[in-house]
Parts: sequence; C-alpha cells; structure tokens
Amino acid sequence: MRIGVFICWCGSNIKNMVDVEKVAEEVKSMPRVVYSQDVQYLCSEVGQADISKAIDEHNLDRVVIGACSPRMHETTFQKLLEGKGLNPYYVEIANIREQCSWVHSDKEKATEKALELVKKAVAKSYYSIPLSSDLLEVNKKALVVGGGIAGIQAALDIADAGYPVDLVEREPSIGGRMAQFDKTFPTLDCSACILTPKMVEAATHENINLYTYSEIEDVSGYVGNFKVKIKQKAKSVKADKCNGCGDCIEKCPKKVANEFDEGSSKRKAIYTLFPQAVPNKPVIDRDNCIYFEKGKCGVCQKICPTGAIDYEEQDEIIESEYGAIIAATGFDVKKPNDLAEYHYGNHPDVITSLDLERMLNASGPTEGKVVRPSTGNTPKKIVFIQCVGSRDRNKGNPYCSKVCCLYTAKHTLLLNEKFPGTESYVFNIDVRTAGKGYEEFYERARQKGANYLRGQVSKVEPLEDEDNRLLVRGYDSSLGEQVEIEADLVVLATSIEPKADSGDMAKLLGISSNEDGFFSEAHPKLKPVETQSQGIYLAGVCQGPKDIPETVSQASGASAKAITLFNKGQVESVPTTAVVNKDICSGCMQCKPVCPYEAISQEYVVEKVAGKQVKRPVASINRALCQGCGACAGLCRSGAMDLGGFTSRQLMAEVDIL
Amino acid sequence: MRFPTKTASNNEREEFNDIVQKNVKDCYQCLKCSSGCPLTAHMDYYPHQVMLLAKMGLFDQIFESKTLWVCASCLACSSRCPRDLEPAKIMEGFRTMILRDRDQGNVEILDTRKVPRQALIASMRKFRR
Ligand code: SF4
Ligand code: SF4
Ligand code: SF4
Ligand code: SF4
Repeated sequence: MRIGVFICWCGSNIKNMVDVEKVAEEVKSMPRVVYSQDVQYLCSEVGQADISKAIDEHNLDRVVIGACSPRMHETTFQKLLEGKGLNPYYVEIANIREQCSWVHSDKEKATEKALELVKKAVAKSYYSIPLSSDLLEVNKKALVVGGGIAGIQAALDIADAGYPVDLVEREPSIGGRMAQFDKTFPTLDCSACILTPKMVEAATHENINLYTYSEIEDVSGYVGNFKVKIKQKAKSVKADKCNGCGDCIEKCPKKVANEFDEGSSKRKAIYTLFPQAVPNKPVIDRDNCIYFEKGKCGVCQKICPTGAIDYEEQDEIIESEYGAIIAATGFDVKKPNDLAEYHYGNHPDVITSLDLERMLNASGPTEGKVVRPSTGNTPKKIVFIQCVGSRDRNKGNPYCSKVCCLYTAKHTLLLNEKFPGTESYVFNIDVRTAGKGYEEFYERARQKGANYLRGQVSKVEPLEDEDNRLLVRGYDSSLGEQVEIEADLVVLATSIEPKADSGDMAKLLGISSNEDGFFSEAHPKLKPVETQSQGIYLAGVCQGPKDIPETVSQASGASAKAITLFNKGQVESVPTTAVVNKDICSGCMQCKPVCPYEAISQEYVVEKVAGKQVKRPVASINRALCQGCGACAGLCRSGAMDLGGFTSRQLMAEVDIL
Repeated sequence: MRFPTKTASNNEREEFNDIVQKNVKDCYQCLKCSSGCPLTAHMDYYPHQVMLLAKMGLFDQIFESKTLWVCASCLACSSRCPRDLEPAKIMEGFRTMILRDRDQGNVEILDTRKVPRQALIASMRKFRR
C-alpha cells in the first residue's frame, strides 16, 4: 500500500489558520505514507494535475486529502482516481476547512487539530476496500405532486419532452394559488388569462394524466424506481357521464364557506372550485353533503339530466411506478389572528391581501368590486400593512415572504385604476423590489399616488364613529412623528407559510425541510431543485417564497433534471451500502425496522453444524434500496452489519490513531 | 398627525407644480438631502421631511416651517439627490408660494439678523426692490 497525502491551502481559507506545510511534513512519518505535499488549490486543474503526477511518479494506490468538506469535492477526487485506474473509494478526505480553519482562531491549536484529522484519514485508508455501484434501470415516467403553476409547468415540460407524467392535485381542479389571483405584477396581465390555457394544455396533453381530488398515500423505492400509492377520492360524479351543465350545483340546498374565496362567499356541497376549473365537472364534498350526513336530500341526483351522480362511488387507490418525483405542493397564507394589534378577525374591514385579491377578481365574491365587508360600500381610504407575520421572530415567521411588497404595490395601482380617488397608505419596514422590472413597478405605484410610510403599525382599532371606521396608528420614521389614519379598509400583507401538512409530505417523500417547514434543496446554490433524496425534485413555494416567474423557472429546472434522468435511462446505485456478515448475523432482525428505506429483509442460510444441515435466519440487504445511512450498522449487536466506506474496522482505526 | 387632515387644494398643488416642475412623488426617502444639509441643526423639518410632507399634500405644515427660511440654498441637496428632485428648488418653490401670497412683498421680517441673507436677497429680487 502506497499512500499519498495532499493538503490544500484553499487559497487563504485554510492556510491562514493552519500551517499546511507543517501538516504535510509531519504525516510523512506515518507508515505507508510515501508522498506528501501542500497545494494552493487542490480542486483546480493545476491541483488535480499535481495529484495525478504524484500517483504516476510515486506509484500511489491510496490518496488522502486534507481540504474542504467531502460534500463539496469528494466526487471531483473520486473521478480523478477513477481516471487513474484506481477505485474511487481509495480516496479519503479530512475536512480541515469547515471543521477546522473556519471555526478556530488559534493557529497553533488549529494546526494540531488539522494534523489529527489528516492522520485519522490516513489510518482509515489503511482499511479501505474497493466499492462499486450497480446500474439500475430507470422507469421513464414522472409524478408531479401539486397542480399549481409550478406543477403544471413541470408536467408540461416533461410531457413535451415525450415522457408520461401523472399530475396529482388534492383539490377538485388544478390551478392552485395563481388561479385565485386577479392580476400579476409587474406587467399586470390577468392571472387567469395566462394560467387557463396552461391548465387546459395540461389536461389535454396526451402524455399527462390528471389525478384531481387525489392525494399521495405512500411512496417507496428509490431513484428511477419509485412505487407510489395515489388515493383518488370519490368524486361522486361520473366524469364520463357529466356534461358540466351545473344544474346540480344550482339546485343543491347546502351552502358552505367557499375556500377559494378565502371564506368570503358560499359554495354548494356539490361544486366546482371556480368557473374555469379544469376538469370542469363538479364533485360532492361529502363532509358537507346532506345526503352523506343524514341520508336524505339527493336533489342533485334527481336533477342531473345525464344520471352522472353516484353516491356509491368509492375512494380508489392507484398504484403506479415512477422514475422521478417533483414536489410542487405550494403554500398557505397566514391568518394573522395571533397579531391581535391588527384586529384581524375582530373587525370585518380588516382583511388579508388574498381577500382583497379575490375581491378584485372579476369571478370573485364581489365580481371585481372592492367593498368594505361591513357596509358593502366602496372604501375611500385604505391602509396597507406589510410584513404581517413576516420577518417577525416573535409571533410570526422569521423570513421575508418576498412577494408582498410587490403585490401591495400592485393592489394600490389596481385600486387607483379601478376606483380613482381611493387613497392608499402603505406602512412598510422597507420595500424589497429585487426582480426584473420590479423597482420600476414600485415607482409607478408611488407615482400613481400610494403614500408609503416607513414604519410598522402598532395598532388598528375601531373608531366607533357612525361609519364604524378604523383608526390605524403607526409612526413614520421619515416624518419622525406618530401618524394616525382613519381608514375604511385595512389590508394585511400576510406571511407565506408552508402547507400545514408539509411535514407529513416531507416524511412521505423522504426529503427534509428547514426549520420553517419549507422543503430543503440539496445545495442552496448549486443544487437548488434537487433534494437529498435522489430522483426527487422541488418546484415552487414549497421550497421557499417565490413569485410566479421564479416558480415557473424552477419548475422548468426540476423537469429538466427529470428529463436528464430519463434520457440517461440508468442510474448508478449507492456504492456505500450496508453489508451483512452472514457468518455472525444472529438473525434477530432488529435492524429491519430502523431502515428508513426498507432495504432489509430476512433470508435463510443453510449450514452444516456438527455434520447436520441447519437452516438459520439472517438479514439481507437489497443493494438497490439501501442508501448507506448506516442506521442498521450502528444498531447491530452482533457487529454483523457493516457499511461500505465506513466499516467498523475503518472507524476503529480512526479512533486508535489518536 | 391624524389623517384625514387638511391637505393642499388642487389650486395650490397646481401652483406648486408650475413653479417647481418636479414630481415630488419621485422621492423615495433615501434621506440623502438631509444627511448632506449643513443647516439641519436649525431646522424644524429636515429637507427629506419637507419632501415627504409635500408628497402627502401637507402644504400648511411646510408653510409654517422654519426650514424654508433657514435653507441657505447651498444646493448641496440638489447636487446629490439620486432622483434629481432638487430639494433646494422645492424649498424655493414653497418660499415663492408664501411670498406671492403676501401683500406683494410686504413681508414682515421680525429680526433681520436672524434671516439668512440669501433669503433677503431672494425676496428683494422676487419683488424687484
Ligand atoms: S345530495 Fe348533497 S350534493 Fe346533492 S344536492 Fe343534496 S346536499 Fe347537495
Ligand atoms: S416582501 Fe416585503 S412586505 Fe413581504 S415580508 Fe418581505 S419585506 Fe415584508
Ligand atoms: S435626496 Fe432626493 S430622493 Fe432622497 S430623500 Fe431627499 S429629495 Fe428624496
Ligand atoms: S439647499 Fe437648503 S435644504 Fe438643501 S442642503 Fe442647502 S440648506 Fe439644506
């Protein structure tokens, strides 16, 4: 065994805190280290050429690297070794940047620690074994979860590339949040006008299969070979018979709050989500239907001219296999009840921006008229409050919701246009307009008359005058004065939040979320659409607040990843899988339940013991499913389970060297 | 300050726009005018506050403000305003409105020593004395 050690300066990142020459010098005395060198940038072409040269000149067969986190460049070095005819798992990396130079301030001690980290890596490499991966076939069909603009775009892109897609949406229609909006910033084009054609395209595309009113029940498998159970909720209306006449909706006696209008209007128990719904056939909301509650009514069935109503219909489980999954599950909007100072929920004229959006929408509850909910009159003086629950560590969400600055500007513009003479006051902490054409848009809003006041509102209270108006008290830091505004309507730009059940979805898909509940990308800069789970990609606000252009770009990015995977047709399995030493496995099967990928099963070995044939249970690993997490290896009491690349022998060697 | 409060009439706004030929709504309150003004120590409203009041139509507050007469027309603000609003010109605009309103130049100057010379000269020029 001939080991070469390379210590990276990482420019000044490591060199400033670690005496790299000293580290390189001292490891030379370790057994089997035949070469050692420090290099300014190991990951650069020059640095890699240095390694390559040393491998040739010194006949190296193991390489130990002291540099940044293996997460960053492990594959770079593995590829290099592979190119030199060595097994890629003959490279060991000691993280002397993130785990050393970046976090310490005493050069001497940091150097000492770096040396120990490198020594450990050398010790580990004494026991490294060659690992290989298998090639697995990819199922060339994609699953898109969520039928908003993100999901629609992703599905269309994949379908256009010629691959089949299943698009699953839990609501009775696709369209998502964007379908609720009136106009979109910064161009003020009507949301429905640009969305509806896409919805129709998705519904009619020969490669897209639409599952509305459906939810994901179970996901198993791995990249290229996911097995998914989709629950198609009973719609109680036979799609092939229903002609969408809507007679049933009209005659249904049961009214409930319409979630699509944020509860500000009523819908029937048999309903379509909105007029341009796709598919445009009603469903019965069984939780609210009189027939399902009391066994009486049945009006819709009597009225339906085509006999499409079917109360007996059952939920259906559809099992299907996919090569890639795109999560595009969208977001919720905070209901700011806990910010009592704004009086939301206590006064009908304090509304959210989404409520206003619905009012402005021609197919909304007021058919495009903006009114004070308390009186039905047109408001003259409107106060907008931004960052409601956003950037609020105390009672809200710590992050910026990103789109409220612009949609508030949009609202002031639309109000000005539709109802000249309305006065808009916008209380803000600061206005964020990062985006193409956004600053210009904000400027237009200011020009057209919106008064921007810099400072947050501390209280909204009923004035108790005969108009039942509201008094908004804030402070304008530019004016240096407290400002009070008698307002007809108060509009709260409420925070964007992950879907309430996004945690369950993350668990189902086996992906992670950040502390706020948004799904985590594999790398914030270099892998923004991938997740840590191979083959599962992200699109839209489920990953973090985004506007429409950004959502659409990310959706196309996610679909491009899926298409690349399908074009390749094969994936390499993880080489660092667990291995069972069947000789010492006791067959206790304690490892089976801890495996998050369900890769462990029981099998039997037949042995000769004292001349007799004995059948004995042992654990067995499905290498295609195993992701190398190591949970089983850590748990196994007999020490029979070992993890490729991190064998017990290797870890012990690391400890022993210290 | 409580809204609704008395704001400038359309006539006043028109007059003001005629004089200054600037759109005060362009001001985004970067505060650069105030941060460079050498005379803020003597002002009740800072230049950016005058801009904000103007933007909101609160002309009366401006007319009553000392700032208009403390301003030395040094043009520091005008030369630096990123929106090219020339706050000094806006100040001048408000001064002009006040002076026009008065009895053709019979401005009562209470203490000549306290009024900046610039203002005196400006007022004399305006009324050709
Ligand atoms: S059966 Fe249910 S859905 Fe049909 S009309 Fe009655 S309440 Fe409405
Ligand atoms: S987008 Fe604007 S209003 Fe919304 S949270 Fe961010 S800064 Fe606040
Ligand atoms: S420098 Fe110009 S833009 Fe900035 S606050 Fe003053 S007047 Fe407004
Ligand atoms: S012109 Fe007037 S307001 Fe502007 S900086 Fe000079 S003194 Fe200040």
